[in-house]
Amino acid sequence: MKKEFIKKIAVRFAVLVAAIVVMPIESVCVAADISVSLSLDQAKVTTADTAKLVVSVTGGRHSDSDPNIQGLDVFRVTSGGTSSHIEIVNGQVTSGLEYSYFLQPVRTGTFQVGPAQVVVDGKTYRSNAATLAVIDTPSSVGAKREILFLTSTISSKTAYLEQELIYTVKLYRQIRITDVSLELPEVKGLTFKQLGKHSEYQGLYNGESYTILEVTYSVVASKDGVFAISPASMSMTAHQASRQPTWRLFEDPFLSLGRPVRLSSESIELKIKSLPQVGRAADFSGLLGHFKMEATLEPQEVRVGESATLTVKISGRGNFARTPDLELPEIRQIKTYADQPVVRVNTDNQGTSGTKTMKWALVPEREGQYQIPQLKFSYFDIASEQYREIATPSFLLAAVGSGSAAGYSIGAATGAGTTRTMDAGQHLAGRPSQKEAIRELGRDILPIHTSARQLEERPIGFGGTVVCLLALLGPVGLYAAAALSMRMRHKSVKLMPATKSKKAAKRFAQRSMEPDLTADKIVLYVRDYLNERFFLSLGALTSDDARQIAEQKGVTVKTAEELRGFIKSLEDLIYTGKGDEVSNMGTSARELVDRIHKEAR
Amino acid sequence: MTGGWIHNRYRVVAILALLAFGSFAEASGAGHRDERIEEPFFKANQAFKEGHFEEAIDGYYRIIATGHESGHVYYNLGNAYYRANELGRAILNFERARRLIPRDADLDFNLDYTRSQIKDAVSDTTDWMDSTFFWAKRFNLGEVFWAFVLVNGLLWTLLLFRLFFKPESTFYMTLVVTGMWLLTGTTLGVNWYKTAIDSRCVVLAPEVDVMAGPETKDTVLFRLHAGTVVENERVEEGWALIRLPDNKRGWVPSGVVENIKHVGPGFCRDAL
Repeated sequence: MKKEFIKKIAVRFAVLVAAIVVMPIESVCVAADISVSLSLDQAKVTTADTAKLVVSVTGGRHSDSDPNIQGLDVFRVTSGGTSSHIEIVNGQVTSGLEYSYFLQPVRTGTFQVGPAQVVVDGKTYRSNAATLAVIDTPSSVGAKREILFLTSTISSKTAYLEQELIYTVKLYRQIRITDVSLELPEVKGLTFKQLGKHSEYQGLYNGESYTILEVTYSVVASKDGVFAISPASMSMTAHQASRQPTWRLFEDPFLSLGRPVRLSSESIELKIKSLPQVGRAADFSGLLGHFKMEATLEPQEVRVGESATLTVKISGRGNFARTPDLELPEIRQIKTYADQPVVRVNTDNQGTSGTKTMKWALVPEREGQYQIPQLKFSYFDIASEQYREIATPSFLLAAVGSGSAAGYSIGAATGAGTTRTMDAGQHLAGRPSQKEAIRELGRDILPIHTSARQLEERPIGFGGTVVCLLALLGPVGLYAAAALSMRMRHKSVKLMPATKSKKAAKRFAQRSMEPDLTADKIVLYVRDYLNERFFLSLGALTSDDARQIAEQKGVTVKTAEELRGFIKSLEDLIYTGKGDEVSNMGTSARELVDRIHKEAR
Repeated sequence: MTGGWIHNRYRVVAILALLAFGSFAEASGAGHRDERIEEPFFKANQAFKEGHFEEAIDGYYRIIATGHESGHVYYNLGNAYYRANELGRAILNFERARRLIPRDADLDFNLDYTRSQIKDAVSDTTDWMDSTFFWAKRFNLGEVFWAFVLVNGLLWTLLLFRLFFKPESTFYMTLVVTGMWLLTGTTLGVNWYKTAIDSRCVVLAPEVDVMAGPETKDTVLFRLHAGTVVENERVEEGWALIRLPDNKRGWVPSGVVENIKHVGPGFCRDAL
């Protein structure tokens, strides 16, 4: 018994070894018949399904080339790989080869797949053909779904122009998938923008648990009308573990079968309408959604020249890019400096939201109370389908003088405008009698200076060097000029008599040297000399007058008498008609005048 | 003729007096606001209030770069540097502010407070001039200059007046104004001198070794810390020779100290 059992085992082992070792000559050992067959795993599929095509070559472990299969034009074909096998049945060894393909239909209809032609050792073998019916993907609403399906939804099928809608694509799966890619529908007039990252979570659909992959997009229409959003498509490789055990050698029973899958969602009709004209403000900015506005003014009391800050913050959800830059109107006696607006935009799976912060520095130039005008803007509230206008609250800015400080007075003003002063005892009543030393609890630097008035204080060097020198030396120069001119004037007044006197004698000398001198001219020149020399205003000059004047002015009697005689002689010449005969009299006259000049005071 | 001459004299005196006052009154001029710097000033202040001290510092420097060296801008700059934890630069700018607004109480407080945080025990540098003319440092050079210009103008106007008219009252007035002229003139001279020779500098680095010579391998004599005010005797090849009030001297890299006085645009370039 034992020997027979051992013998049986040894034979089987030898056969096994022989099959492995002499494999190259199996074609001689095994049956020489080669056959090719074609099979589909399904006879009917939907446009979302994938059919598996297998071309089996039995009797051979190789082919000269890949099979040539007819009828695959209407499919997207993906190779599923090649496998070979050897079977030993009742000592008979047979081998085979399998080519796998995945077929994804591109349209509905009934199609013939095959036959396949395979060339083995130069000989062509043909397979059979198979029929595959392709139908439309059935509606998924309320129906029991597959283990893998795709849906797309939109937040609203009716919306306004530029209203932000949320388009959600969800992949439901109960199997493992890899290599996922999404194709969004392309619709003219609609802009898709992904919101955040995709998310994956567990969920229920019709009571069944699925792993859901969700991607959201914002959709904004740029024109009104009716839009047909075509289905979104998602391609992936679906892995489903094989449920059938296999005894085929060299085929790993633990590997799952990966099939390319292409899923499509539903199409959606979207209606976009224009914003109503009724209630639309003239300065409407095109903002849609829901917004609110907050404003603060700090501080509300400042000193003249110091600044207060008006902060306005607009926040909300909608087409935030349309949020207007508010403009603060001019306020009399207040200078305003606008800061750059700060915008923060967030996107999440509910859409776009954001905040816009605008600031103005307000600097009052004079004391007083200033009404800060309200800032307004309007938007279209989608929820209520109405235009809304929102405004900042009304602020009052108080500017006090730079010298005065806000404080508390003891007296209180009554309604009549008089001041009631509290009684001293009343005021002091209740004060503690024990005083505490003031303890320093902390130390820090004092704050910065903010008043623009402090910038008025000009530094060293205002005006430039030239101006400073002028300012310094100007008064000195003016004084010097005035003093000098006064001195010169005084000097000239003092010297005037001497000057005049000199000029008179000089003038007489020049005149007396004239070529056509006559007696009456000489008399005239003597008269002029006496007038200039002694500040007289003689009209006619007689000899006696001349002597008298000369004597009065300090001239010696002799010279005065000579003058009288000279004038007399000239008069004689004039009256006797011999006025032209004055040949040497000019010289005599000059000598006489010189003596008078020297002798006179 | 005489009456006309007297009438003319009055007219001449009046015109000359107007010119005398007008020249320096116009030059000294009341302060006027430069609106070009108001906006950057407010923006820098706003940045300071929001805690963006570097941005505030840039804003204040931009104002200074326009040529508008205001003591208040330097004061704010000092505050910004203090908040940015740069004690040396804070004290440097407070000192610069003090040259321009010497009587500002806030500045006095902040400078005292920041000085109290200096690690080194260094006494103030004062000399006989500071003691004798103790009032001089309470006024900046510009204030003293224009005060002197005013008194000078007044004096020469009185003298000019006395050229033509000599009432006794003008004699005494001239005496008084001459006294004021001497006082302001002397104060101006002292301030000008002090400004011209001011070679003080502030240590900016948190800690610096003072070397015996201008080489890194020389002996370390002593150590100084940020905010200490020393005298900068001279600078050679990237090294500065500094002196303490107790006459300790040594060399430091010139980049770790900065002079309090720096040349700005405008008047008194020689003095500055």
